[in-house]
Amino acid sequence: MAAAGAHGVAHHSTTGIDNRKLLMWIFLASECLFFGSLISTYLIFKGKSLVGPYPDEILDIPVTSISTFVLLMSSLAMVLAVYGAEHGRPRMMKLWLLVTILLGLTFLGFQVYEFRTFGHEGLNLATNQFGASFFVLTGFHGTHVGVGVLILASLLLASFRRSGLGREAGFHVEIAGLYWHFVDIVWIVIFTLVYLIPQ
Amino acid sequence: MTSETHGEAQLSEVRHIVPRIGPRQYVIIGVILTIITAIELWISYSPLGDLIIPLLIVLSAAKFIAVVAFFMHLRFDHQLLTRFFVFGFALAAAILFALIALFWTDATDAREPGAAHVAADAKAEPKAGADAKAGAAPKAGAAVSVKVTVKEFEVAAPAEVAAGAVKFDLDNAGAVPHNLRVIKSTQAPNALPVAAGAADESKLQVVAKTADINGGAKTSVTARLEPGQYLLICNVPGHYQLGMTTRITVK
Repeated sequence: MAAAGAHGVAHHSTTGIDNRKLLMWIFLASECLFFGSLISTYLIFKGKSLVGPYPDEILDIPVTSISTFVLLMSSLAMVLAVYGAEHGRPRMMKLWLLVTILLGLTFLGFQVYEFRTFGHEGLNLATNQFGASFFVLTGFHGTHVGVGVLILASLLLASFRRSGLGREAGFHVEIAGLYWHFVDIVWIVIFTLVYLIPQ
Repeated sequence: MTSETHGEAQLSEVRHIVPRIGPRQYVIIGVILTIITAIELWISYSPLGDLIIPLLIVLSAAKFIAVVAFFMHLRFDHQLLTRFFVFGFALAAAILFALIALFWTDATDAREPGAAHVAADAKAEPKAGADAKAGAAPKAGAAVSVKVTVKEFEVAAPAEVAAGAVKFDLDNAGAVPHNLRVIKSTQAPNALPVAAGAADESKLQVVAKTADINGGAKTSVTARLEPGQYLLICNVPGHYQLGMTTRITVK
């Protein structure tokens, strides 16, 4: 096991990888299965609705393209925050963490707008197969973005302590970054399969 | 390792890998990702036809790989991490393909759960929970039967039926395959929107449908119908325009 919490002492593990990082990657691999199942469900059910609204009537590709761009840019901000943390530049880290959080919140704002619009147009979880599978898929993704925002916000808050994020600042921000980037790549897949590919 | 008294000796020091890539390269990658997204958007509106889907998949895979390799540092990090992640991703992709293959040709959605128990002629395998709309299929035995006969090129059925569970017994008296679509519509029988040689079901409220059945074959489908105007059509391409449509009023 890693010598967790030992200050200044090198961690050890059987693999030469920090166990916490290994855990995060295995978690992300399992998340692939989670989202893979939801995406499969959507692709199977989207064309089986007996009543409208149907996907081609309601999905707003231009608006979603902007929110996709926002999430992509949040990934760029995240990686810059990781760079700052790993290179002993706390101000750079804080700035880009803040930018990442704001972009994440902007993405969530777009999603709230989209869900409300769909609601007004008569599409909700119970309307048809498309609505059910669409809201479950994008809702779970949005929840992941929300959890990511909370993780990053807690890191940002902690970084204002006198001791900052401690000796392992780079490591903590990197692990949070892995989660954040994963949420981004899931959206890359959802944007293509749900929005861009013709219905 | 666990059997060793001195397990510690088997441990190796954790290597912290700091990638040799900096803000400049990250920004370049961010710009490339943005350009790819713009190209994807253009492709989705372009008249490229069958090329659209493969192009979009290739481009989004490129974005996916770029983020994983450079932003998540997998390109520089321990190979074991790549193996774990690729394994999880491959399993997810396998599930996706398996499920889509399973449901792609599935026509059981339109059939009545337990149909084989109700109709002696129905060859449908009972499939619970396959119905696309909750409440669309009544309990076995509760349905009123309506005989629908199809042939080239007409649909014959009673003009009226009582509201509630209705079982359409479809009889193909023709020589070529036909099917049945029950559509809730007040439009004239020959005025439905048409796409690709058939009535455009994506624009219609199809409340029940059967698979294509060969000449001489029979099948059935059950739907719970509210009072209103419905059309019964055969939607094998070309057949609807050739006159395989009739109105049925549900009272």
